[in-house]
Amino acid sequence: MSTVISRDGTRITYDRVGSGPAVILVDGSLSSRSAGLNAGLAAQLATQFSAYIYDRRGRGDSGDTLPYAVEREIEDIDGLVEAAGGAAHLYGVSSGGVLALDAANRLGTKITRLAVYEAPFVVDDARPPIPDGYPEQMQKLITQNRRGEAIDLFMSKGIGMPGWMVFMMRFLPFRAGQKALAHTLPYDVAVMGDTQSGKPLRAQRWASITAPTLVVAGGKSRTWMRNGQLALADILPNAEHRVLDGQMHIVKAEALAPMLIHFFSDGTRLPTEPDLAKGIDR
Amino acid sequence: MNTLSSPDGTTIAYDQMGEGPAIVLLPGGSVDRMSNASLAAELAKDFTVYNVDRRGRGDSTDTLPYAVEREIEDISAVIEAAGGSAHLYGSSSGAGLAMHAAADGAPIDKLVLWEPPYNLNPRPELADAAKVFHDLVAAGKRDEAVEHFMGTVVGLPPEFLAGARQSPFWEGQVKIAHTLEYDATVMGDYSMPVELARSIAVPTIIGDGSASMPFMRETVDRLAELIPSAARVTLDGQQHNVDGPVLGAALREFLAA
Repeated sequence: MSTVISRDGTRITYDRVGSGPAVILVDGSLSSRSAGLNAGLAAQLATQFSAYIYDRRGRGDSGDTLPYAVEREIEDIDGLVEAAGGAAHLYGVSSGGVLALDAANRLGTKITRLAVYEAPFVVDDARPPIPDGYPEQMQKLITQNRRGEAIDLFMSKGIGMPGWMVFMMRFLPFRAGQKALAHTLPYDVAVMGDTQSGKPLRAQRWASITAPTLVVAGGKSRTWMRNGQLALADILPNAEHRVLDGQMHIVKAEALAPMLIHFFSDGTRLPTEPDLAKGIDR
Repeated sequence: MNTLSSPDGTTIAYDQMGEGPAIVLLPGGSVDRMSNASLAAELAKDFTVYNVDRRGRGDSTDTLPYAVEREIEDISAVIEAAGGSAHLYGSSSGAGLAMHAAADGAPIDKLVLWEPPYNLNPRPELADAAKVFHDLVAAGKRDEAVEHFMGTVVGLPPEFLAGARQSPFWEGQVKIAHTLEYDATVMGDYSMPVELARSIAVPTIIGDGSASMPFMRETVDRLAELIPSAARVTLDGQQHNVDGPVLGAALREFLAA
């Protein structure tokens, strides 16, 4: 476990595994280093990369400084990039993918390659949009410290989980861990912004992304999710779109890792070739 | 985050916070120390809290083969770091582990147990749970281990499990799946541990929630009778997954008494 101090003084805790070019992995809602999709993925990437997983601000072992702004989280990623040597590949899953897009848009050439798995955009009527007033409702529940209800709201209106399942979630032991992360639900709501309203994405939000970008959807994911990834790849300046057979939103690390390793390897092989050639000449 | 080295070389991670008498917190099955984070924050108003990642979880390492004795050594090492004696709190199967540590003679001031999931009525489907978890994880079937925990141990229906696989928490549960065997080992066949309970010599507070399952409430009743020096408390409106700040506020009161 290591830490980096972000620009506003917030302590960001991260783990680095493996060695090679740096890849920073960004979590989505209600996730942290110890509870999320990225630890397993980092272990897979570690064979060829230095994989960084971190606790986004407000989660796990990282600090938090209010008021929240997405810009602060971009600064956190910037701090991690600096810790990694000044440039890194970036990967984000779910709403973490949207944060990764914003970071790549802001950090320019510091982000060498960008990969996104299933940013949960609602760009058409293939599912009900996030209802009006959802952000305010979420913020109110957190302000009143009604953490369990905030989680229920996210599960039902955010994810679209049926009510009886939302109810049963209360009986699983990790409920307390989720409650400990619940105050960050509004952070991801802020990251998502107006992208879950059922309207087309606005290209200008990410018009400055220079890094080659990979957008991945799960082959068994819902139509609305797959439509969102197609729409994203369509508006990005330099993106390719791939479908990962057999996968859904909660993607298996073993399935995704080979695709990411291939994508990130292409991005790093070119700049290092002259160095390699010099070494051989000598 | 702090770490210490247990006698077998395993690194045990814990968060230390607050000032006052020491209290060590143990999580139950399928979770790490984050499950006690809000309880720890509340207790830190009066205590020096040691919120522990049990071996194999979170930031702690793991050393095989698993044995309950190794976890008792971990607890003793944390208590040693806390100054030589401490209150010990365990939640669910973490409470089962805390009972073992107390019976083993660990230097505990007061033992605090939240709903150890033993049963008055036999549950034969749980008798071999440790072996089932071990075999599934050894075969690389971690998803099925998580399903066995949620389905057979917790008792949620198959329809839930299908949806749960597509929930944000799933991979976190898969990651920690190798520890399900450990909690099942602690719990044995999940039947009432009469001799274990009778052998606990330290003052004990055992609590449940008024909204918990009936079997759980009967278990806590019975354990409170068996443990020689036990005070039984009930938190109104709470269930097995107790709200950390509510429990913390109650414990600040009970432990001061």
